[in-house]
Amino acid sequence: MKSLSKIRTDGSHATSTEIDWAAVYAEYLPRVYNYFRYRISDGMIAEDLTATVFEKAWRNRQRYQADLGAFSTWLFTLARNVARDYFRQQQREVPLEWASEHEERDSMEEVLVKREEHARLSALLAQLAPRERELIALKYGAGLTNREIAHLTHYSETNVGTIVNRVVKQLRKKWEDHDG
Amino acid sequence: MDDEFLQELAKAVRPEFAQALYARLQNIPPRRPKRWIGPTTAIILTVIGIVACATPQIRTPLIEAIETPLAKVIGEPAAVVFRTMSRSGDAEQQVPLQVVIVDIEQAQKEVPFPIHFPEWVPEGLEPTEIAFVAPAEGKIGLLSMGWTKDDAIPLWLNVWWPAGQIRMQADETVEINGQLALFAQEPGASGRLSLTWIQQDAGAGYILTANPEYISRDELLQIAATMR
Repeated sequence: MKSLSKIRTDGSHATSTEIDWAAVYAEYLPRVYNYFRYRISDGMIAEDLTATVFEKAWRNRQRYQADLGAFSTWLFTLARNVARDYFRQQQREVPLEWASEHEERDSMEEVLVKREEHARLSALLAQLAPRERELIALKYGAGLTNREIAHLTHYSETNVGTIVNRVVKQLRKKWEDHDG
Repeated sequence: MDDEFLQELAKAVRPEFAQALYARLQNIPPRRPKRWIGPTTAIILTVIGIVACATPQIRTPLIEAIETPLAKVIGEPAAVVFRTMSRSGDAEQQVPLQVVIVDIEQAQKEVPFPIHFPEWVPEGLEPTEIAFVAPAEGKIGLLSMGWTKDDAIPLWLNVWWPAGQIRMQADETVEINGQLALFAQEPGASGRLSLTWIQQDAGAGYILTANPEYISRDELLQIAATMR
């Protein structure tokens, strides 16, 4: 079992007992928020889910001292669980925004007509398989390294790199096809 | 890797959202940190205590069981040190014991009778994994799980086999699925509720223990009634 003294956050934060929660908030709030934006594409929902993650983290911040692993792993594990709960609920309710996204898959041109970069990217991300979209969200939304993603998802680091590269290549091709 | 286009979706957090959330977080008190033992370990510690103290007739074989190195290990072993009463007197001793954490399916494979788990518990209770002590030949096997709510473990189920005889002080006798069961409430501040019975066809002993802050006597009986 890892001892508390070995628990380190990534970046500049040292041990859990020395965590500066204000700094953690400043650093991780945008990363968690953008993780949800990449997974869900809806800014308001991303805010709600981000708030849920931080409320859970705050409530359990002392428990983290007895927890294992890097801080970002712990926080993004919370975020992934919150996302999972959200999607589980959505499966039961099938929201309208999802329905429209599915329609957009079949009529990509209508989406692109909007000429909004982020709408285009959202539409492209919506076409990804859930696993691929999650990896892209962790990489580009949360800003995690391949190693951190591997630790979080239990894929190998090589596997993460391979999948992300492949997906980025596919997305870029579609992106450039449109530009061209 | 040319992935600049993928940055398009990333946005800065709205300052008003960030400020409002931060203000809200300041009003969230931290949960009391958990003790160094996890729920499952706590369950096993409790089962030793409950079974050893509440059923003197099986105390000796139980202690023999935990003093004997248990060779049969399944799942992921977890080294746990128990503090138990020695047979010779009041002195306590630490006994290393290998406990494995299993799920219901694994536990059922290892136990030579169908284990009766509750089919109903009050809303909001989440089951833990099962702590399992595989019996060495001729010794007692133990199986224990709990149901958590927030940081508490309001409900515990402990099963041991062979059951031996139960002789304990009880507040009342009740009938659970056609079998006699003993209901008791601990005196003192904890007021812990317990319901003890033997599953006769399997020769297994069951103890359901509940925290009265979360679970009433009637609910405890209701839970037991679903264990068939």
